[in-house]
Amino acid sequence: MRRLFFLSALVLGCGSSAEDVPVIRLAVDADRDGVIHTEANAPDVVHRAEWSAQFGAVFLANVDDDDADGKVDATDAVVNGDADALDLARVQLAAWKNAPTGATATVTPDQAAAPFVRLFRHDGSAWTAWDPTAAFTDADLRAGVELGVEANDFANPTWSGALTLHYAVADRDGKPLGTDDAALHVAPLLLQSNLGTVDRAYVTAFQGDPDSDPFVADVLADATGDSVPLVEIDGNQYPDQWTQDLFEVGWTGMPSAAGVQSMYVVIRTPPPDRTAADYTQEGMLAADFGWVWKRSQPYNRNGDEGSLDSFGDLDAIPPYGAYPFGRVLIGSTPLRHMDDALRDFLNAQVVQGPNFYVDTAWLFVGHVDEIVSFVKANTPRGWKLVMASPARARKILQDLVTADPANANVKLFADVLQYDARGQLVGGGVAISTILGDATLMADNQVAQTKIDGVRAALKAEIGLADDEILDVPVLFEDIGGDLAYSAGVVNLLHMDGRAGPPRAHGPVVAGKDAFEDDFEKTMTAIGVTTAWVEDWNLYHLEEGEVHCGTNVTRKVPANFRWWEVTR
Amino acid sequence: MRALAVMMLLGDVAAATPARPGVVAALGSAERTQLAADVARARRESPAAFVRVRALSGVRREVYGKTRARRPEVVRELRALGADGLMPMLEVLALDGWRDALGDEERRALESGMLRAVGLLGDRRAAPVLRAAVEQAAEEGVATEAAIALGRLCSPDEVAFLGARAQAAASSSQSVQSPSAQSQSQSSLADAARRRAAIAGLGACRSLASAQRLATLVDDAAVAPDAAAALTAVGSSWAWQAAGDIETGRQIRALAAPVVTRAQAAHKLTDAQAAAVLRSFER
Repeated sequence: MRRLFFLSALVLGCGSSAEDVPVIRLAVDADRDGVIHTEANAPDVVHRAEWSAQFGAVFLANVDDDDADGKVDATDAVVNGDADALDLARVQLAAWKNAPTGATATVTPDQAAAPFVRLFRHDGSAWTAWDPTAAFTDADLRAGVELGVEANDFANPTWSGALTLHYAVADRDGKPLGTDDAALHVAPLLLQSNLGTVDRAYVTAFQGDPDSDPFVADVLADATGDSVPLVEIDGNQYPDQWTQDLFEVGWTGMPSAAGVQSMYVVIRTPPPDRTAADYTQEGMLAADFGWVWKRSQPYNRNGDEGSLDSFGDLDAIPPYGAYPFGRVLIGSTPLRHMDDALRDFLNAQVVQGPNFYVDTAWLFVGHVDEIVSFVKANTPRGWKLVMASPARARKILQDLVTADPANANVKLFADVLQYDARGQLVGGGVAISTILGDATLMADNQVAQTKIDGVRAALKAEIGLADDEILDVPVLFEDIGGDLAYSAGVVNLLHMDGRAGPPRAHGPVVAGKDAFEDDFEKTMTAIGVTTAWVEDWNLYHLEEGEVHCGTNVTRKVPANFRWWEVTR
Repeated sequence: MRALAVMMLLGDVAAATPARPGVVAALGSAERTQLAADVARARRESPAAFVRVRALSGVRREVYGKTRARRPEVVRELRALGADGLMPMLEVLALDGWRDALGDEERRALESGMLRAVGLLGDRRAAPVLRAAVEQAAEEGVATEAAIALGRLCSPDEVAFLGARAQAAASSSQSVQSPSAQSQSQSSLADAARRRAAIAGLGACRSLASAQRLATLVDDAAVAPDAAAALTAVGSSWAWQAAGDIETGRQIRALAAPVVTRAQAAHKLTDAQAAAVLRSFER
């Protein structure tokens, strides 16, 4: 300490002016206000190597397409216009006015980050790619230099997302004059839970199809009721009705003077042969709308495994406890799980992780959205967990019979086709007595309930939910070598800002009311959620899915966007 | 006598090889002859069912590729055939196999789905095929579906057959595995896997006898979770209520609940596993 004092005194007080002190200093937006200050005592300098809830610079994976060339901006070494420049995090080499003639400097990323990082240099109005092996001149050092940094990827299994920039200055003979380091973190890709405000909704429309048209009309009515634009993906060009499974939209952002410089990011489903998912690149990638595709290469997974690469199996638990941005929720077991490459990528984002897994391997399709959803609620927590419940369905049926034995003859699925107890696709419905008297179906459903109870217990323990924060909605299952919704899977709903869009239940109608729908609506009304029924039976239910499976949404970047305050 | 039987059975096996996709069971000659006759009669009486089975769409990629799971699946289609579907399915499973080329996953779905659909019919004429399939299937999923289908028949014969195979490997192979099965034992399938399959089969047989077998297996740490899961179905109070036989359900609960609790205490079952079984007895 004393020795330092004497050195400083020598430099500052004994014949040298302050201007003679070498200024070898990097500044980054460590205080996260979107502006960089290079003074020695500025927080952007003082905290330039930190990463904490209070300090630490952020940069973006520049995966959107600001120049509309159909490619992710980070795939080229060009700053694609002013909008693209906004996606660069700034790094300032503080001006050293008295830099000696012939001095040179380099700024190099650390080895782990180097493959994922590109530097640009700002000269006047132009940005040019900067080769980290190139040297800055003495004139550069005297004037100071502004650099821009982008990543070509998010954190991933081979890169934590941390970047250290090493600034090294040497004299004309190559003798080191000093160094400095600054740290940045790439922003994570964050998923949105059902609580996020919807920006737009999507559905794949097969115009003229008698089953698609009513579905689209109901979803449109639901979206319109919430003043949300509905994007109709052309089913002729992208023939895959499972819009949910094709993509998941998240977001990323870094601090800016305006608060946050953000972009949406769409994740494409892993299977290359799912060509309808090319819509993500052809129809969604745009300015401030990024695109990523994570998959094993080669991708070689069969349908049993591959089903879990559909994004009905990827959700986010809404914010709770130590997860103010929610937590990634995936249906997965060691024997049947999402593609490792995608799973590990999601884990690498850290802020919403580690991924929380529940057992959905017992389901034929295997997606978490077959048994779980989340809705807003006028409660202190602000949301509730919705779970498929065979027990609830059975009790409703039993209660109807108890209230009036004649109700045993009332039929479910009376106005649609349904597989009957012998497996025949028939009209005319299935009587309550047939369902309650089918020992195999009842055993299947009780087993399904025990599986759901296991998921319920796991979520309850993890989140700290009270029993009254879990809403059971009536769903019966059947086992076809894996469980599948037998009645309409009303849990598989589209949730938009306090509006639940479940599939029409086609349950038993007594006194003019569908008992399943009535029960669902009462459950939702009690917590301030409105219900907008969607007809999906033929095109979705009979093909192993429901409303959530057939729709998708982009949710707005949350008002609380400060993910960087989460440290793990 | 035993040698003769072995030779006869080996001859049958030879006749059945190379197995076509769909063939999961090589029958003894008498059973094979009987089945062929039954199939021929059924073809005369209900030819449409044979056509429909051969026209199954659930194994065609252009069809299942549009479903949500994007997995081949034939159970619902086959169930829709009702009783007429039995012989066409047994013909595929034990005689002719599937004539068209199938990918591995499609083949598995076909075999498993047919076995499941056969089991749902509850027709005892399927028993020889199902027994052979339990013995011979080279994949656990297929063996399990065969065992479940057999379990659904649920007579004392099936409980004895499956119960024997659910015992530890050494005793089961000595007591019940036929020479044909041993030789045919395309059986790369491990004994443990076949045990699990047999236990699942017992789980499809809702009877006190099956529950008794499973209760003893809950004491075996190696298979306790499998046996407990099977008991969940066998002791399902909903199922017994549906069947109008509350009393048998009560007896199963009285028999199995203490065993499950004991296995939980001995850490052969996790708390969650035990709770799942006990809940299924109670609701």
